[in-house]
Amino acid sequence: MAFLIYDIESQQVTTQLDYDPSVDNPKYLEHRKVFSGKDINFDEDLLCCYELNAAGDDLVNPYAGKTKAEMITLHDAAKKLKTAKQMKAQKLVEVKTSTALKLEDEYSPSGWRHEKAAETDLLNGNNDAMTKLATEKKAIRDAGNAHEATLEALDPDTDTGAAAIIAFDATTSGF
Amino acid sequence: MGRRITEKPVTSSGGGGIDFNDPFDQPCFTSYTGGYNHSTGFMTWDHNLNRHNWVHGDHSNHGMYRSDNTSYSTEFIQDQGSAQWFNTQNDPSSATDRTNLCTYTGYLGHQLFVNAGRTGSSTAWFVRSPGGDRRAYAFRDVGTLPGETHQDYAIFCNFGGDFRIGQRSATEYFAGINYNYMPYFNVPDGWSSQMYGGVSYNRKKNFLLFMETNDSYTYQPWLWKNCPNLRAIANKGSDFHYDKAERFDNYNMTSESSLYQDFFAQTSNRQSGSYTNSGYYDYHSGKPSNGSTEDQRRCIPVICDNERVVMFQQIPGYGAWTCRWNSPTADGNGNSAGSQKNFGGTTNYGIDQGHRYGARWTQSSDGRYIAMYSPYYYYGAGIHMTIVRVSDGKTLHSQWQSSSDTMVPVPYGKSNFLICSSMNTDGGSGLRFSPFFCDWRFNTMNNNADPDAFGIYEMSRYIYDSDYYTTSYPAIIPAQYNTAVFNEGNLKTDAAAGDFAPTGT
Repeated sequence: MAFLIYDIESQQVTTQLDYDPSVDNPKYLEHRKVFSGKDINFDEDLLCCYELNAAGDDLVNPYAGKTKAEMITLHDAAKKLKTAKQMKAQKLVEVKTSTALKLEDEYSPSGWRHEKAAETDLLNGNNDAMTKLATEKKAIRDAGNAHEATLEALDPDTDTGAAAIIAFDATTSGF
Repeated sequence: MGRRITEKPVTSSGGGGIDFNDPFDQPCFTSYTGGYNHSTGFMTWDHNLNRHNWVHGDHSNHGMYRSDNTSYSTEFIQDQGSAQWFNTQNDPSSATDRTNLCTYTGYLGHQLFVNAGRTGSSTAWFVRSPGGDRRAYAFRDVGTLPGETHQDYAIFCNFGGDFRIGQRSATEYFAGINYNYMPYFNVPDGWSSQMYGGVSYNRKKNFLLFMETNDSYTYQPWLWKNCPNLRAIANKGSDFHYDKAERFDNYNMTSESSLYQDFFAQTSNRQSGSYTNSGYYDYHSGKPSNGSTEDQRRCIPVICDNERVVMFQQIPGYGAWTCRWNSPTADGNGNSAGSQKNFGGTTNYGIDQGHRYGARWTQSSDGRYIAMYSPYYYYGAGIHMTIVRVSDGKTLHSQWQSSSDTMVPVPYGKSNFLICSSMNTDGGSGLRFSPFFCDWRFNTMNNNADPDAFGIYEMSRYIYDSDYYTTSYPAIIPAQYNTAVFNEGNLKTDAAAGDFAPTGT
């Protein structure tokens, strides 16, 4: 009899054993589910496709009946959407961080641009240089916001949207 | 000056040439986590699983090690900081280049990082992306050293039999094969062509084995006996560390050398005769599937103490397999014992997609166990692994058939491995790993059983921090350290020796 091991945290089936490891180690079940009664033929079936059913009490391969080649194609496509969803959240944070870092790196109050503008205005008796500096900073913020909006509009649940998210450059070189 | 290779045992009075009273104080592995514009860093852990060293980056202060491409960063980080491969926010999955691919690790450390200092003076550190590709040649060609307790050198075999001996250094090997820094000779063929990485040197028995192939997926081991001490040659003959005068004294690696003339040119040193016009061992043909160059021209063989031969191959597009040859002396014949394990998987890539990909191996500090592995999914996700016991060729096999994360075996203590996970450190989980105690597992399980080696990775959870504050899938960088001191009778796990008490060498 074969036993399929489902890893609870990573939500995936990871191996098939010919024994139940939880018999000698009951704590095994704190992190895993063990399913008996299924004997995967690795020449015809793909372990990484298996997932918990809705009730959480059995494993199913949503691509059952397909060839292995078809299974991996479908699995990869589904995984791409999942990856894009995760990356979208990361890259939204990344755009904000990149924008903030650019402002901090080049326009901080202790930086040379700020110091030069302040001194220029002091000598000229106006606010022109600081206004120009503030305008440049606003342009960076606006560009960051626009870049963020572009990313926000991409739909990770579509193939094209997912591909665009994965390829999206969230650094300042992207805007 | 050549490196001194004679070591004195540690004594209770503190004498001797080895600078560790406790070998467990040496580095075991380094974890790297980080992301562009965020904190990034390295943490190195020793064999006691205490912290050995660390570098924690900061992205917003002058003078700190930064993980972005501003002018405050180091050269490589400025240049590569935003690169996908540089960051660990994503799991290996199908990515071609991420630091957390299992394919990037092995006996020589990690392709994308230079090694941590043995004394705790430094952590590992990045190389720039072409640097990793350069170092990868060594990972492709390096051969196993069963039974070797002094693992400060490496042997390399290119396809066709160009054979090199050198330091345990991927950097040296790159220089060696690309700038002619490492002399070499071509090993005489027994039958056909030697393979990438297809060499195994059993120091204890003085066996040197080359796997040969007809380039049509048929293999035959060729065993040389009474092999000279390759470690001595490695430490004496390298042009990378030593001056020219030393290069040409004693043995060196040219076809005019005494090593070649006295040993390899005398093919009577090579076993033959059991099989007509072939050799000591029979041919083996037929395996679960034929993939590509990775399994056509590359393999990881182990010559065991009893002359059994175990070979592991990644089979791109299929998975992996392990086969074995009988011992002409212990079993009475050198027949192929056939497949010991077929890992049926899915799409995975080897050297056809670049020489930086393919199967890898590492070995315990005492050389008694060798772990051979390859990815389950694409370039470095999931893992198929066989561990072989060098004394008799017994094998155990485990798999982690994930299309997301992976596991990496790291030598741990004297005879064991840590199974280190690339799983997300977020949410306070930190690093996940578990020890794999080889003696116990091999003593309690049948040949070719599955010990579920990847089954309890959460042992370390909530205990071992990482350097990044959010989603991160760490890179695991196996350390290089003085393996000899794990074998000199000064082990706290050596009951016969007692805690830290010397018994000599």
